[in-house]
Amino acid sequence: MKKVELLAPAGDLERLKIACLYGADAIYMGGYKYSLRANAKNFSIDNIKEAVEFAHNLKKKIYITVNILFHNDDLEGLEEYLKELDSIGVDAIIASDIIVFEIINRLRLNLEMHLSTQASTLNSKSALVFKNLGIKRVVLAREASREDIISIKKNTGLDIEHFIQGAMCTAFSGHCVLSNTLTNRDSNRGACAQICRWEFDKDDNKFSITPKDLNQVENIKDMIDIGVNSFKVEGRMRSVYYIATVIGVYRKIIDKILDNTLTEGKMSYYLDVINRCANRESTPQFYKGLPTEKEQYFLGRQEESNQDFLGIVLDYDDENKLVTLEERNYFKNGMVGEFISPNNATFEYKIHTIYDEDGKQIEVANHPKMIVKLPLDKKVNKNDILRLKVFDKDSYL
Amino acid sequence: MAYHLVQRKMQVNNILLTVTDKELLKKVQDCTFLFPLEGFCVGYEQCFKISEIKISNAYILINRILDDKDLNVLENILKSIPNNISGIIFEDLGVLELINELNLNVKKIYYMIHNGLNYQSINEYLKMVDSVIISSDITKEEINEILDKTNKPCIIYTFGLNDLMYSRRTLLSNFDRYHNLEIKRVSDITEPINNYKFKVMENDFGTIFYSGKYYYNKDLMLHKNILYNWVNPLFLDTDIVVELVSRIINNQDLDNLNIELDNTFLNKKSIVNIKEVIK
Repeated sequence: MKKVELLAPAGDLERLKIACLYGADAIYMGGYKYSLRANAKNFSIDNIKEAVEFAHNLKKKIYITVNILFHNDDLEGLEEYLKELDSIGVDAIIASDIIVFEIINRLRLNLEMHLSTQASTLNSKSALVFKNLGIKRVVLAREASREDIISIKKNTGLDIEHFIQGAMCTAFSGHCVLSNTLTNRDSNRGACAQICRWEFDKDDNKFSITPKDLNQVENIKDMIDIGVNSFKVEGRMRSVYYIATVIGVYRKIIDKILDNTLTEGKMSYYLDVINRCANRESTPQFYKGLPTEKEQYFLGRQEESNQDFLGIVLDYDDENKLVTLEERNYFKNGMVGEFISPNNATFEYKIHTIYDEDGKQIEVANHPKMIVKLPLDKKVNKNDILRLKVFDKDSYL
Repeated sequence: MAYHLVQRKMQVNNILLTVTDKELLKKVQDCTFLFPLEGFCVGYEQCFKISEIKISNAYILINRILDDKDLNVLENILKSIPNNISGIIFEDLGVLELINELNLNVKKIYYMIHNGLNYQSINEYLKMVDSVIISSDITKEEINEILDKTNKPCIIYTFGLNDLMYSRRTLLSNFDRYHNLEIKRVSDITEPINNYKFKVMENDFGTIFYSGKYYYNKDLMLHKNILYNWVNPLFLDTDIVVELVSRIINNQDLDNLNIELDNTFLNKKSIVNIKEVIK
């Protein structure tokens, strides 16, 4: 069976663990230095160590983004940082600044080198320049088409990592300083203010350059066939629920493609689940050609936030058949939800009785993070999720 | 006469001037000319075929991110590149690989307008190329330190609109199509909160957002480690460009030329962490 990698983002340890449990093969994350999400929580060196141990125990990999574009002042401490990452067993570094590769090579560190999407690789020859420097994998520009992927794979022999889900920059990555211009926040050092989501004036009209999100559900099979090695989900700032849902769904899609059991009905269901969770419209963007006006927003970005994430399982009491849940969004008796799990099939659950932490019966769970207990005959596991049932899976079959 | 009181300004004798109008070739002397290559540039109204470039010691500019098909087309063009082309400035490193494969006898110059931000990285690239264009996104002090510490002479962006964003999307025509407007490929766009004006230009290969005002890095023009001072006078009338170049050569200010300047990037360090903004 062909081996492909599902690569998940993680903004902190909780999300990293969820991503691992819900089916990611590898996790990418920013360390406390030099990452393009300077305002995310990011990981201390101790956090990274814990992440590596947790992931390696599950036979999963950890990639650290060292993907800022370095200014003179940023260079101090870079060697030491890379040595630290090497010593704790990080599997690979994702970078685009050549100085990172130079240091890893010069110090003979045991870190695999992946060329970041910040390098905007769209052709074989530019990838070969970096292959000569020792990179093993290229994260293609989000602008890469199917044809580009085939050509680069064929001509370079490099591992190909490509984005399949998440937000898009309007610009080629690394080729935008609109944020620096309007807010002084450095987009190429992790402080992007997302100016491409702002509104502009053009003549008498409101002008927008905001792209819709990326979603490659319909192309995963084709991408496996043409040799993409790693399927990358964007979103180091995204929630636990988003990570669990999106990674869980892509895991199922990939596995079902590989064992030839993915039906059109299941695919439609997965697509609806992802779209609902992502809150924004999404398209395959550049995969089959240049995006047109249909792949952009012109009347503001329509985000339909929902409160589907009802709670996360903390524990299950086998003897009393009670699940302990940490509430995340309001729910009450009579609502119909479903439990999703990394290991078990999704099943419907009608909420009929809610107990508070002291065992007192209540009608509603309405305080974020309150602990409640629900009677449930079927065993669930820690980190399973209760969400509102929106789609009837059976109706897609 | 008190000659010692007459402080004669040194001349800038290494100008690389983008050809925005063929008339410049007749009207401007003492410059090396840079020709945006037709089909391989974004953000330039006036582009040239190789066969149109007759002047000696000419440079060509390729500022697009290219795919393999583009590189195949480029290969056919570069195979028969004439001797009067002295150098190629490229943004995509695939072009470097192509130049090496074709064993072309040209100066290889890497256009690092957003990634030429530190001297160590630039020195790594200088092992592969003859020179680089240092980023215009950083401060005067940062550029100066780079110039002091790089192993070969580099090019600085001395005058022009700042290239602020490069998208593969055709953002102007997408907008016009959506609103059923007549398609215009050059436009003035305003960001209303800051009242910041952009000049936006697109072609079939993408869109560039330029600053609305011009950048003039006058203080570093005479640094000894500069191969060229690049003057990129987009959207200016030819006569103004002629006067502008004369002023730059003579290391003068640009007063009374009706050119609005904005040197924010040169004078203000960018911020990495939002907490710094609050301070």
